[in-house]
Amino acid sequence: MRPWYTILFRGRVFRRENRGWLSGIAESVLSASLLLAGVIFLVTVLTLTFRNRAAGADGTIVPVDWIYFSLQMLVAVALIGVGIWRIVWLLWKVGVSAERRSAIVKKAVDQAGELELVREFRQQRDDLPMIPLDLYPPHQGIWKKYRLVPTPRNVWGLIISSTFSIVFVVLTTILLLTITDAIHLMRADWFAPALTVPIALAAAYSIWQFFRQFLKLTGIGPTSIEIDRYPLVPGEEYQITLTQMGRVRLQLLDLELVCDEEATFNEGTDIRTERSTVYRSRLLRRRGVVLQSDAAWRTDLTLQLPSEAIHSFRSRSNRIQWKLIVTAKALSWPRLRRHFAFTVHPRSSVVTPPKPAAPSRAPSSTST
Amino acid sequence: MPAALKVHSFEASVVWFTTGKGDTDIGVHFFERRLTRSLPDGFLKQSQRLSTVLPKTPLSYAGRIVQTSWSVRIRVFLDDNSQVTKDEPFRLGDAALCTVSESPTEPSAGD
Repeated sequence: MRPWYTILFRGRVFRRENRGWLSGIAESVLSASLLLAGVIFLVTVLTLTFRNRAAGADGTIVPVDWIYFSLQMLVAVALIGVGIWRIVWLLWKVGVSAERRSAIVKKAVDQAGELELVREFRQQRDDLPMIPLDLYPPHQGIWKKYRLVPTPRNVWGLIISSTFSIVFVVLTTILLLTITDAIHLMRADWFAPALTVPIALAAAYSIWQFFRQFLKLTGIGPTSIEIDRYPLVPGEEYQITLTQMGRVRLQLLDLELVCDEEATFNEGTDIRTERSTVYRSRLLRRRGVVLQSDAAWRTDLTLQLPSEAIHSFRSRSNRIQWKLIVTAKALSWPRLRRHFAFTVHPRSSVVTPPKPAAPSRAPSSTST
Repeated sequence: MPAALKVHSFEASVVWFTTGKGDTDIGVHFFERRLTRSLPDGFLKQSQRLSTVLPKTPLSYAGRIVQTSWSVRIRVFLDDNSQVTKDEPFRLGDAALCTVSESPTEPSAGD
């Protein structure tokens, strides 16, 4: 017989295949809630303590019970510390796959191999001017020789939203304590309540943004792309292994090959950068992929660059960038896009077609 | 060219440069400057040859907002401080703009 409380958890959301998704949500919510609870408790303790130290109407000052104050501060700091630690741990856990976590243990061996790879790439670039050095060089792979490094996740959105959340929560807490005091002392005060409403709304919105940013970073696990040869050359075929971690059911998983042109120019006093996608090819599309925490989803596929494709290029104001883009969509999670930039070299034997004989004409010239 | 003007010096270079939406970037692969007073009489009246080994990159490319081109550039400096420039473009490699299914353009402002 099923326990009585399971009647509260009925519906598609609570099916077995969605439990990983629910545990991911619960873990994220718990971590963020601990941090916010610690901040609110800290502000409340500090406000009440130092307010009570102010002289009363008869000039007496209420002494502080330092032992009680220390215990309260300890609880508040503990909540904040545990909340921050869990958030950082979640970010690290989903940012690094299980295989890589175990590989980090063998750091000395990995570092020697990584240095060899970097040295190999630098030697290849000596005779290829304007081919940019990889900002994030590939690492040693597990299933293939090279593992492409994704563009780092933008955690600044999370930092900014968490900062604003804390500031607004602190302000709201102080204002609520002021209102409570006014009610307790039967004192008319319209300023604090009037200020509390907009600040409380701002706090609620910033907390929602914080959760949204946090779920975006932790919802779907790390993505790994490994390739058998690097750098790439137009016209060649490459074997790729795509690995996706997580605990959700993906509605859609796409892998695309993309080439972007980027041009920077002055427009008045502004410097503008315009980007144009000049090549896009879908390599993979899967629907209904079930990700499990104990086993990564993995697939092998072939990548071929067009034979006439241009190589990677980087100058002061212009850029040509090739990349693989993984797009994942899960129900109720923000859409995930991960970019894996890679370098394309020109084909080794470049044949310059002979210029046809031009008809005789008067030479054009410019003079200054 | 007026007969009274004489060539003071000249420069021969092999350059690549970008055109398109972005600011022009230029790279000099080969450069030679010579003063005419150090040259034998009649030197400039005869065809001259320059040779260089071209690099593997950057290849000539006609993209959507970025184009790269190569050129042999001759710049002649005259006694009255004026210059005459002649560009002879050439194509390096056979890279081409590949077909695309969608091409969103995303301008963004910055400082």
